[in-house]
Amino acid sequence: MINSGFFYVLPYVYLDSFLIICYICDSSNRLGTQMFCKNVKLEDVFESEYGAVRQCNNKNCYWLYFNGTQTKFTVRDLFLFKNRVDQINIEKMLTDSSVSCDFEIIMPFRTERCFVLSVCDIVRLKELLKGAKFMIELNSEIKSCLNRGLYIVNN
Amino acid sequence: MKDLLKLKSSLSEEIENILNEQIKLEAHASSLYLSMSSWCDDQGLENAAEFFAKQSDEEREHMLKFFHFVNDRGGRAISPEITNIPADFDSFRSVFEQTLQQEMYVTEQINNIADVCAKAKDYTTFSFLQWFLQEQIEEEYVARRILELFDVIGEAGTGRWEIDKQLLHVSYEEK
Ligand SMILES: [Fe+2]
Ligand SMILES: [Fe+2]
Repeated sequence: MINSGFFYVLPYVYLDSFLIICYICDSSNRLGTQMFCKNVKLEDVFESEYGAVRQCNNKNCYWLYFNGTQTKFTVRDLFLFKNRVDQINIEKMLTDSSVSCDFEIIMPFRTERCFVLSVCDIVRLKELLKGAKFMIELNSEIKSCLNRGLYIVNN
Repeated sequence: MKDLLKLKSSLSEEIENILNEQIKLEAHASSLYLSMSSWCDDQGLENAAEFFAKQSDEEREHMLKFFHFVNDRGGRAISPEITNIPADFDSFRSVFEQTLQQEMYVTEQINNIADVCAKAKDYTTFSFLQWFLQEQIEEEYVARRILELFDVIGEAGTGRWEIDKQLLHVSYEEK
Protein backbone atom coordinates (compact mmCIF):
# COMPACT_ATOMS: atom_id res chain seq x y z
CA MET A 1 0.00 0.00 0.00
CA ILE A 2 1.12 3.49 -0.70
CA ASN A 3 1.27 5.36 2.54
CA SER A 4 1.28 9.14 2.62
CA GLY A 5 3.48 9.05 -0.43
CA PHE A 6 3.48 11.06 -3.59
CA PHE A 7 3.39 9.91 -7.09
CA TYR A 8 5.62 11.57 -9.55
CA VAL A 9 4.24 11.07 -12.95
CA LEU A 10 6.44 11.33 -15.96
CA PRO A 11 4.69 10.70 -19.21
CA TYR A 12 6.91 9.26 -21.88
CA VAL A 13 5.84 8.78 -25.41
CA TYR A 14 6.62 5.17 -25.98
CA LEU A 15 5.57 3.59 -29.26
CA ASP A 16 2.12 5.06 -29.75
CA SER A 17 1.04 5.09 -26.21
CA PHE A 18 1.93 6.73 -22.97
CA LEU A 19 3.99 4.80 -20.57
CA ILE A 20 3.20 6.16 -17.21
CA ILE A 21 5.95 5.84 -14.72
CA CYS A 22 4.96 6.47 -11.22
CA TYR A 23 7.41 6.32 -8.48
CA ILE A 24 6.81 6.91 -4.92
CA CYS A 25 9.23 8.70 -2.75
CA ASP A 26 9.33 9.20 0.95
CA SER A 27 7.54 12.42 1.55
CA SER A 28 7.33 12.61 5.30
CA ASN A 29 9.58 15.67 5.36
CA ARG A 30 7.56 17.44 2.67
CA LEU A 31 4.09 17.00 4.04
CA GLY A 32 3.74 20.65 5.08
CA THR A 33 0.19 21.64 4.28
CA GLN A 34 -0.89 18.01 4.23
CA MET A 35 -0.01 17.60 7.89
CA PHE A 36 -2.57 15.39 9.53
CA CYS A 37 -4.88 17.17 11.97
CA LYS A 38 -3.24 15.99 15.17
CA ASN A 39 -4.85 15.52 18.57
CA VAL A 40 -8.25 16.21 17.12
CA LYS A 41 -11.08 13.78 17.06
CA LEU A 42 -12.24 13.52 13.50
CA GLU A 43 -15.92 12.95 12.85
CA ASP A 44 -17.01 10.30 10.42
CA VAL A 45 -18.86 11.74 7.48
CA PHE A 46 -19.10 8.66 5.33
CA GLU A 47 -17.32 5.39 5.16
CA SER A 48 -17.30 2.63 2.59
CA GLU A 49 -15.41 -0.59 2.25
CA TYR A 50 -12.73 1.24 0.29
CA GLY A 51 -12.28 4.48 2.11
CA ALA A 52 -13.70 7.19 4.27
CA VAL A 53 -14.31 10.91 4.54
CA ARG A 54 -13.88 12.50 7.94
CA GLN A 55 -14.43 16.01 9.18
CA CYS A 56 -11.97 17.99 11.27
CA ASN A 57 -13.87 20.53 13.36
CA ASN A 58 -10.68 22.22 14.42
CA LYS A 59 -9.38 23.19 11.00
CA ASN A 60 -12.80 23.06 9.30
CA CYS A 61 -11.66 20.63 6.68
CA TYR A 62 -12.24 17.13 5.41
CA TRP A 63 -9.88 14.23 5.17
CA LEU A 64 -10.30 11.76 2.38
CA TYR A 65 -8.92 8.32 3.08
CA PHE A 66 -8.54 6.37 -0.07
CA ASN A 67 -6.17 3.67 -1.30
CA GLY A 68 -3.93 4.17 1.71
CA THR A 69 -3.60 7.92 1.22
CA GLN A 70 -4.98 10.79 3.26
CA THR A 71 -5.81 14.04 1.55
CA LYS A 72 -7.06 17.25 3.08
CA PHE A 73 -9.78 19.27 1.37
CA THR A 74 -11.85 22.31 2.17
CA VAL A 75 -15.55 21.78 1.63
CA ARG A 76 -15.45 23.57 -1.70
CA ASP A 77 -12.37 21.73 -2.90
CA LEU A 78 -13.92 18.42 -1.90
CA PHE A 79 -16.98 19.16 -4.02
CA LEU A 80 -14.83 20.35 -6.93
CA PHE A 81 -12.85 17.14 -6.66
CA LYS A 82 -16.10 15.19 -6.71
CA ASN A 83 -17.23 16.99 -9.86
CA ARG A 84 -13.89 16.22 -11.48
CA VAL A 85 -14.18 12.52 -10.63
CA ASP A 86 -17.80 12.40 -11.80
CA GLN A 87 -16.79 13.86 -15.16
CA ILE A 88 -14.43 10.98 -15.97
CA ASN A 89 -15.68 9.05 -18.94
CA ILE A 90 -15.54 5.48 -17.65
CA GLU A 91 -17.07 4.09 -20.82
CA LYS A 92 -14.22 5.52 -22.89
CA MET A 93 -11.66 4.09 -20.47
CA LEU A 94 -13.19 0.65 -20.84
CA THR A 95 -13.53 0.66 -24.61
CA ASP A 96 -10.27 2.40 -25.53
CA SER A 97 -7.47 -0.14 -25.58
CA SER A 98 -4.55 2.33 -25.44
CA VAL A 99 -2.44 2.29 -22.28
CA SER A 100 -3.10 5.98 -21.60
CA CYS A 101 -6.77 5.13 -21.09
CA ASP A 102 -6.16 2.55 -18.37
CA PHE A 103 -5.68 5.22 -15.75
CA GLU A 104 -6.98 8.68 -15.04
CA ILE A 105 -4.68 11.13 -13.35
CA ILE A 106 -6.07 13.85 -11.12
CA MET A 107 -3.94 16.36 -9.27
CA PRO A 108 -6.38 18.46 -7.25
CA PHE A 109 -5.27 22.06 -6.65
CA ARG A 110 -4.12 22.92 -3.15
CA THR A 111 -3.21 19.35 -2.36
CA GLU A 112 0.10 17.65 -2.90
CA ARG A 113 -1.56 14.52 -4.04
CA CYS A 114 -1.65 12.92 -7.42
CA PHE A 115 -4.40 10.37 -7.84
CA VAL A 116 -3.72 7.69 -10.41
CA LEU A 117 -7.05 5.96 -10.73
CA SER A 118 -8.06 2.77 -12.43
CA VAL A 119 -11.67 2.22 -13.49
CA CYS A 120 -12.20 0.23 -10.32
CA ASP A 121 -10.79 3.07 -8.19
CA ILE A 122 -12.98 5.59 -9.93
CA VAL A 123 -16.16 3.62 -9.24
CA ARG A 124 -15.19 3.27 -5.59
CA LEU A 125 -14.16 6.89 -5.25
CA LYS A 126 -17.36 8.08 -6.91
CA GLU A 127 -19.44 6.12 -4.44
CA LEU A 128 -17.41 7.40 -1.52
CA LEU A 129 -17.62 11.05 -2.57
CA LYS A 130 -21.31 10.77 -3.40
CA GLY A 131 -22.01 9.39 0.05
CA ALA A 132 -19.87 12.05 1.70
CA LYS A 133 -21.52 14.89 -0.17
CA PHE A 134 -24.94 13.57 0.67
CA MET A 135 -24.08 13.37 4.37
CA ILE A 136 -22.54 16.86 4.42
CA GLU A 137 -25.66 18.30 2.82
CA LEU A 138 -27.96 16.26 5.03
CA ASN A 139 -26.18 17.53 8.12
CA SER A 140 -26.52 21.10 6.88
CA GLU A 141 -30.20 20.58 6.11
CA ILE A 142 -30.91 19.05 9.52
CA LYS A 143 -29.10 21.94 11.20
CA SER A 144 -31.27 24.53 9.47
CA CYS A 145 -34.44 22.55 10.17
CA LEU A 146 -33.52 22.46 13.85
CA ASN A 147 -32.81 26.19 13.82
CA ARG A 148 -36.17 26.85 12.18
CA GLY A 149 -37.82 24.55 14.72
CA LEU A 150 -36.22 26.51 17.54
CA TYR A 151 -37.56 29.74 16.12
CA ILE A 152 -41.08 28.32 15.93
CA VAL A 153 -40.89 26.96 19.48
CA ASN A 154 -39.58 30.26 20.85
CA ASN A 155 -42.28 32.28 19.15
CA MET B 1 -21.46 17.64 13.40
CA LYS B 2 -20.39 21.19 12.63
CA ASP B 3 -21.97 22.57 9.44
CA LEU B 4 -18.90 23.45 7.36
CA LEU B 5 -21.05 23.97 4.30
CA LYS B 6 -22.95 26.94 5.72
CA LEU B 7 -19.78 28.29 7.32
CA LYS B 8 -18.38 28.62 3.82
CA SER B 9 -21.40 29.76 1.88
CA SER B 10 -24.94 30.96 2.45
CA LEU B 11 -25.87 29.95 -1.07
CA SER B 12 -27.02 26.44 -1.82
CA GLU B 13 -25.21 24.69 -4.63
CA GLU B 14 -28.33 24.82 -6.78
CA ILE B 15 -28.79 28.55 -6.41
CA GLU B 16 -25.08 29.26 -6.88
CA ASN B 17 -25.23 27.31 -10.14
CA ILE B 18 -28.28 29.10 -11.52
CA LEU B 19 -26.81 32.48 -10.56
CA ASN B 20 -23.65 31.55 -12.45
CA GLU B 21 -25.84 30.66 -15.42
CA GLN B 22 -27.38 34.11 -15.17
CA ILE B 23 -23.91 35.71 -15.05
CA LYS B 24 -23.22 33.97 -18.33
CA LEU B 25 -26.50 35.10 -19.82
CA GLU B 26 -25.90 38.76 -18.91
CA ALA B 27 -22.37 38.56 -20.32
CA HIS B 28 -23.77 37.04 -23.49
CA ALA B 29 -26.28 39.88 -23.78
CA SER B 30 -23.49 42.40 -23.28
CA SER B 31 -21.43 40.88 -26.10
CA LEU B 32 -24.45 40.57 -28.35
CA TYR B 33 -25.35 44.25 -27.94
CA LEU B 34 -21.76 45.26 -28.57
CA SER B 35 -21.86 43.32 -31.80
CA MET B 36 -25.16 45.00 -32.73
CA SER B 37 -23.58 48.35 -31.96
CA SER B 38 -20.78 47.65 -34.39
CA TRP B 39 -23.21 46.49 -37.07
CA CYS B 40 -25.38 49.62 -36.68
CA ASP B 41 -22.29 51.80 -36.84
CA ASP B 42 -21.25 50.10 -40.05
CA GLN B 43 -24.71 50.74 -41.51
CA GLY B 44 -24.47 54.44 -40.72
CA LEU B 45 -27.02 54.18 -37.92
CA GLU B 46 -25.16 56.35 -35.50
CA ASN B 47 -27.72 56.66 -32.71
CA ALA B 48 -28.59 53.00 -32.76
CA ALA B 49 -24.87 52.22 -32.48
CA GLU B 50 -24.70 54.46 -29.44
CA PHE B 51 -27.87 52.92 -28.01
CA PHE B 52 -26.47 49.40 -28.23
CA ALA B 53 -23.08 50.40 -26.87
CA LYS B 54 -24.87 51.78 -23.82
CA GLN B 55 -27.02 48.64 -23.55
CA SER B 56 -23.87 46.55 -23.68
CA ASP B 57 -22.37 48.48 -20.77
CA GLU B 58 -25.58 48.06 -18.80
CA GLU B 59 -25.61 44.31 -19.35
CA ARG B 60 -22.05 44.10 -18.12
CA GLU B 61 -23.12 45.98 -15.01
CA HIS B 62 -25.94 43.46 -14.52
CA MET B 63 -23.42 40.67 -14.88
CA LEU B 64 -21.16 42.22 -12.25
CA LYS B 65 -24.11 42.73 -9.90
CA PHE B 66 -24.79 38.98 -9.99
CA PHE B 67 -21.07 38.26 -9.88
CA HIS B 68 -20.47 40.22 -6.68
CA PHE B 69 -23.64 38.91 -5.10
CA VAL B 70 -22.50 35.31 -5.53
CA ASN B 71 -19.09 36.06 -4.04
CA ASP B 72 -20.47 38.21 -1.24
CA ARG B 73 -22.72 35.34 -0.17
CA GLY B 74 -19.76 32.99 0.06
CA GLY B 75 -20.20 31.34 -3.32
CA ARG B 76 -17.79 31.26 -6.21
CA ALA B 77 -18.73 33.40 -9.19
CA ILE B 78 -17.42 32.07 -12.45
CA SER B 79 -16.09 34.36 -15.16
CA PRO B 80 -18.08 33.14 -18.15
CA GLU B 81 -16.89 32.00 -21.53
CA ILE B 82 -18.86 33.69 -24.27
CA THR B 83 -19.20 32.10 -27.67
CA ASN B 84 -21.48 32.27 -30.70
CA ILE B 85 -21.93 36.01 -30.93
CA PRO B 86 -23.21 36.87 -34.42
CA ALA B 87 -21.28 39.55 -36.29
CA ASP B 88 -23.87 40.09 -39.00
CA PHE B 89 -27.58 40.85 -38.83
CA ASP B 90 -30.35 40.66 -41.37
CA SER B 91 -31.78 44.16 -41.05
CA PHE B 92 -32.20 47.23 -38.85
CA ARG B 93 -35.58 45.94 -37.74
CA SER B 94 -34.37 42.42 -37.03
CA VAL B 95 -31.74 43.78 -34.66
CA PHE B 96 -34.48 45.22 -32.46
CA GLU B 97 -36.60 42.12 -32.79
CA GLN B 98 -33.67 40.09 -31.52
CA THR B 99 -33.18 42.60 -28.71
CA LEU B 100 -36.76 42.20 -27.55
CA GLN B 101 -36.48 38.41 -27.73
CA GLN B 102 -33.25 38.53 -25.74
CA GLU B 103 -34.85 40.70 -23.06
CA MET B 104 -37.94 38.50 -22.82
CA TYR B 105 -35.71 35.47 -22.42
CA VAL B 106 -33.77 37.20 -19.63
CA THR B 107 -37.01 38.08 -17.83
CA GLU B 108 -38.11 34.46 -18.07
CA GLN B 109 -34.82 33.25 -16.62
CA ILE B 110 -34.93 35.69 -13.72
CA ASN B 111 -38.50 34.58 -13.04
CA ASN B 112 -37.27 31.00 -12.96
CA ILE B 113 -34.52 31.87 -10.49
CA ALA B 114 -37.04 33.68 -8.28
CA ASP B 115 -39.18 30.56 -8.39
CA VAL B 116 -36.29 28.32 -7.32
CA CYS B 117 -35.40 30.78 -4.52
CA ALA B 118 -38.96 30.82 -3.22
CA LYS B 119 -39.08 27.02 -3.19
CA ALA B 120 -35.72 26.85 -1.41
CA LYS B 121 -36.84 29.58 1.01
CA ASP B 122 -33.83 31.69 0.03
CA TYR B 123 -35.55 35.03 0.44
CA THR B 124 -32.26 36.94 0.48
CA THR B 125 -31.58 36.00 -3.13
CA PHE B 126 -35.29 36.36 -3.89
CA SER B 127 -35.29 39.99 -2.80
CA PHE B 128 -31.99 40.63 -4.59
CA LEU B 129 -33.77 39.62 -7.80
CA GLN B 130 -36.53 42.21 -7.42
CA TRP B 131 -34.31 44.97 -8.80
CA PHE B 132 -33.68 42.92 -11.94
CA LEU B 133 -37.35 42.12 -12.44
CA GLN B 134 -38.12 45.82 -12.22
CA GLU B 135 -35.29 46.58 -14.64
CA GLN B 136 -36.68 44.07 -17.12
CA ILE B 137 -39.94 46.00 -17.37
CA GLU B 138 -37.96 48.95 -18.69
CA GLU B 139 -35.77 46.85 -20.98
CA GLU B 140 -38.74 45.17 -22.62
CA TYR B 141 -40.70 48.39 -22.85
CA VAL B 142 -37.91 50.25 -24.62
CA ALA B 143 -37.24 47.44 -27.12
CA ARG B 144 -40.94 47.11 -27.88
CA ARG B 145 -41.46 50.85 -28.34
CA ILE B 146 -38.48 51.15 -30.69
CA LEU B 147 -39.79 48.22 -32.68
CA GLU B 148 -43.10 50.05 -33.03
CA LEU B 149 -41.26 53.00 -34.60
CA PHE B 150 -40.60 50.79 -37.60
CA ASP B 151 -44.38 50.57 -38.16
CA VAL B 152 -45.19 54.13 -37.19
CA ILE B 153 -42.47 55.80 -39.26
CA GLY B 154 -41.86 53.14 -41.91
CA GLU B 155 -38.50 52.27 -43.37
CA ALA B 156 -39.00 53.66 -46.87
CA GLY B 157 -37.22 56.80 -48.03
CA THR B 158 -35.62 58.57 -45.12
CA GLY B 159 -37.49 56.32 -42.70
CA ARG B 160 -34.44 54.52 -41.36
CA TRP B 161 -32.74 57.86 -40.74
CA GLU B 162 -35.83 59.08 -38.89
CA ILE B 163 -36.10 55.91 -36.79
CA ASP B 164 -32.42 56.21 -35.89
CA LYS B 165 -33.07 59.78 -34.79
CA GLN B 166 -36.21 59.00 -32.79
CA LEU B 167 -35.05 55.91 -30.94
CA LEU B 168 -32.93 57.99 -28.58
CA HIS B 169 -36.07 59.62 -27.24
CA VAL B 170 -37.66 56.36 -26.19
CA SER B 171 -37.53 56.02 -22.44
CA TYR B 172 -39.52 54.39 -19.71
CA GLU B 173 -40.99 56.27 -16.83
CA GLU B 174 -42.75 54.55 -13.99
CA LYS B 175 -46.23 55.94 -13.54
FE1 LIG C 1 -29.62 42.40 -18.09
FE1 LIG D 1 -31.24 43.76 -20.63
